[in-house]
Amino acid sequence: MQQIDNIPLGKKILGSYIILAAIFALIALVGYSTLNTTGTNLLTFYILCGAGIVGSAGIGILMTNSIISPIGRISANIREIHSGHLGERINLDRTDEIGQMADEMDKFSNDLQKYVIGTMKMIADGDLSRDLKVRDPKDEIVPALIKMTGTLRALINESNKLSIAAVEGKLSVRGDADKFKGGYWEIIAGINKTFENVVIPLNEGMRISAEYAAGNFTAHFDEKIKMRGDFKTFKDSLNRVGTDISASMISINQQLTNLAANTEEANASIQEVSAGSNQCAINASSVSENAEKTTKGMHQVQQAMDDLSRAIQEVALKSESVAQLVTDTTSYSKNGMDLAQKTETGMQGITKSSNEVNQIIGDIKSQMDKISEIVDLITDLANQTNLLALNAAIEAARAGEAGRGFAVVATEVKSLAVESRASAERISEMIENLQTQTNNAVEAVAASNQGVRDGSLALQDTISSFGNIAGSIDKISQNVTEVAAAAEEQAASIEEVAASLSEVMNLVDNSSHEAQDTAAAMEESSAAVDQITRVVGNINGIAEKVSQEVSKFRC
Amino acid sequence: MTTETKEGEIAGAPSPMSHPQSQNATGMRASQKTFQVLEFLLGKEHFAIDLFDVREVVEYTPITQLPNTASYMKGIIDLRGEITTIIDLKDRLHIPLDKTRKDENGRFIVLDEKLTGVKTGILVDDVLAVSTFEEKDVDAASTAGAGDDEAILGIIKKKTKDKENEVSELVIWIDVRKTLSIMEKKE
Repeated sequence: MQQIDNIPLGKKILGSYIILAAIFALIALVGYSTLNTTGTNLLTFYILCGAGIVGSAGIGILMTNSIISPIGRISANIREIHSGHLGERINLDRTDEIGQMADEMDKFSNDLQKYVIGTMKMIADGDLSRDLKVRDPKDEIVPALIKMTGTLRALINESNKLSIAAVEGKLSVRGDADKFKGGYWEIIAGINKTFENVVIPLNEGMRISAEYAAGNFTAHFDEKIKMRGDFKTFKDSLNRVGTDISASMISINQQLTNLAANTEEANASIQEVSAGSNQCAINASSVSENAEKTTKGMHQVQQAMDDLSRAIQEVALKSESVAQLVTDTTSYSKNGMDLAQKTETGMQGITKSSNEVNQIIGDIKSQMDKISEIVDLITDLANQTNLLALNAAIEAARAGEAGRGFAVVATEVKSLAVESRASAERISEMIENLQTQTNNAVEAVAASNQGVRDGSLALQDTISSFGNIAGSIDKISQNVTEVAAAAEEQAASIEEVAASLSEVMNLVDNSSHEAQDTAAAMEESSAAVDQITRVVGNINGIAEKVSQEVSKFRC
Repeated sequence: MTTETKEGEIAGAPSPMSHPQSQNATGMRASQKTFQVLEFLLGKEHFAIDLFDVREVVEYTPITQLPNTASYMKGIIDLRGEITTIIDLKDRLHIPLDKTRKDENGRFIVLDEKLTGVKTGILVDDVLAVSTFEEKDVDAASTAGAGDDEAILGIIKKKTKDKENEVSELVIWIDVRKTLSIMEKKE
C-alpha cells in the first residue's frame, strides 16, 4: 500500500486506466473467441466480465481511498488554521501530489506560526527589531508587516519627539498628525490637543510670571482663557499673588511717601533747631565777646578814673598858682594900656605929616605934566623942521647948481631938527622917570598912611583887649575858686564811681562765664543736632532707595 | 612918544651923511658918476628912488578910500586943493605888513607930475634923507636873485660908521616909474 501511495497521482490514474483498458481488452478478446466457440465460452465470458468489473471496482476503491483520505486531512488542517490553531500539522508521508500539498500546507502552517504570528507577537511586545524581508513581488504578508512596524516606529518616534520636547520645555513643538491615519492620527492629534490645553494656561502663567518678574503686578490671567480643574487653582493663585503684592506695594509706597514727608519735616525742624542753636552759639559768643570788651572798657574806665582823680588833685594845686598869676597879670595889663595910649598920640602926628607930603607931591606932579606938554610941542616942531629940511633938500637938488648953497643950509637945518628932537626925547625920558618916582613916593606915603591907620586901629584894639584881659582875669579868678570846689566834689564822686565799677565788673565776669558755658552747651547740642541730621539723612536715603526700588514695580 | 623915539633914531642915522653929501656935491662937479636919491623905509628895509622923481614929502593925512580899486590903491587925499592918488608901496612890492606900525605914522612921497599924468603919492613908513651915491656903490648883478623884476635897479652899499666900525648898509634902489608902469599894465 505504501508503494501505491508514493506513486504519482497521474501515474496512478493512468495506471488505473491502463489496467481498466487491459481488463476491457481481455474481456473483448475472450468474448471474441468465445463467440467463435459458441456456447461453452459464454460462461467464461461472464466470468471474465465479472472478474473485470470486480477488478475495476477494486482498483477504483483503492484509488479513491488513496486520494480522498489525504484531502480530507488537508481540509481538516485548513479548518484548524482558519480557527487560528496553528499548532496542527498534516504530516502525510507521501511523495505524490497530495503529499506535496500536505507538505506545503505544513510549511505554510509553520511559516505562519513562527514567522508571521511570531513577528506579530514581538510587535505586540514592543519589539520592532525583526528584520523582515519581502520574499517576492507578490508577497503581501511581509510588506504588510513592514508597513505595520514602520507605522508603529513612526508613531513611537513622534511620541518620543513630543515627550522629549515636553521634558525639555519646548512647548511649542507639536506632533505631525497628518503623517498618520485613522487611530494613529487620533493618537497624535490627541497628544497635540493635550499639549495645547496644558500649554496655553502654562504660557499664560509664564507671561504673568514674566510680568511679575518685570515688576508689573497689575498683570492678571486672561479671562478669555478657559481654565479647568487644577489650572483654575493655578490661575487663582497667580492672580492672588499679583493682587496681594500690588496691594502691598501701594501700601509700601504710601508708607514711604509718609516717611519721606516725615523726614522732610524732621529735617526742616532739625534745620530750625540747628539754626537756632547756631544763633544761640553766635549770641553766646558775642555775649562773651561783649563781656570781655565791657571788662576791658571797665578797666579803661577805672584807669581813666584813677587818672581823673590825679588830674583833679593837680587841678586843685594849679588853681592856687593860677590865682597868684592872675594878680600879676592884672598889674601888667594896666601898664600895657598906658603905653598903648602914648603910642596912639605919636601915630596921629605921623598921619598929619604924611598928608602934607602927599600935597607937595601932587603939586610936583602937575608941574611935570606941564613940562611934558612943552616937550611934546618941541618934538612936534623938530619933526616939522625935519620935513621942511627934506623938502628944502629936494628943492635944492632939483634947482641943480643954483640950489647948491641952499642944499647945505637944508642939511644943517635937518641935523638941527634931529638934534633938537633927540634933546626933547631925553627930557621926556627924564620926566617920565621923575613921574614914576613921584608916583612911587605917593604910593609909599599912602602905604605909610594906611600903616599908621592900621596901627592906630590895632592900638585901639590892644587897649580894648587889655580891658577885656582885666575883665577876663576877674572871671578867671572867680572860676578858679569854683574849679577848686568842684574838684573836691569830683574827687568824692570818682570814688563812688570806682566802687560801682568794681561791682559791674564782677557782674560782667559772671555773665561772661555763663555765656561761655552756654556756648559750650550749644556746641554740644549742635553736634547732637548734626548727628540727628545725619540719621535723618540716612533714613531719607534709605527711603529714597526703597522708593526707587518700589517705583520699579507697577501696582 | 615911542614911535617918535624910533623915528628920531632912524632920522639920526643919516645925520652923519650930511658930510658925504657935501663931499659928493663937490665930487659931482669933478665927475658925473654920482646920483641923488631919496631914502625911505618900507618895513625893516631901506629903499631909495631917484630924487628927480620926487616932488615933495608931506605928512600923513587921512585917506579917503575909493571903492572897487586894487588893494594897493590906498585912496585919495586933498593936497593943498589938489586931489592926489595914494599908492601903498608895501602892498605893491609885496612887503609883509607890520601890524604894529600904523599908517598914521607914515609919510607920503609926492611924485613928480612928469612921471604920472595924475598927481600921485606913495605911502612909506618914514622918509630918511636925501643922499648922493657914486655909481660904484651900486651892485646891479646882485639883483639876479630877485628874478625878472625890472623895478629894482640895483643894491646900494651905503657905508656908515657904527661905533668906529665902518659897516655897509644895503639900500634897495627901485625905479618908481617902472613900478608904476607895471602897475598900469596889470590894470
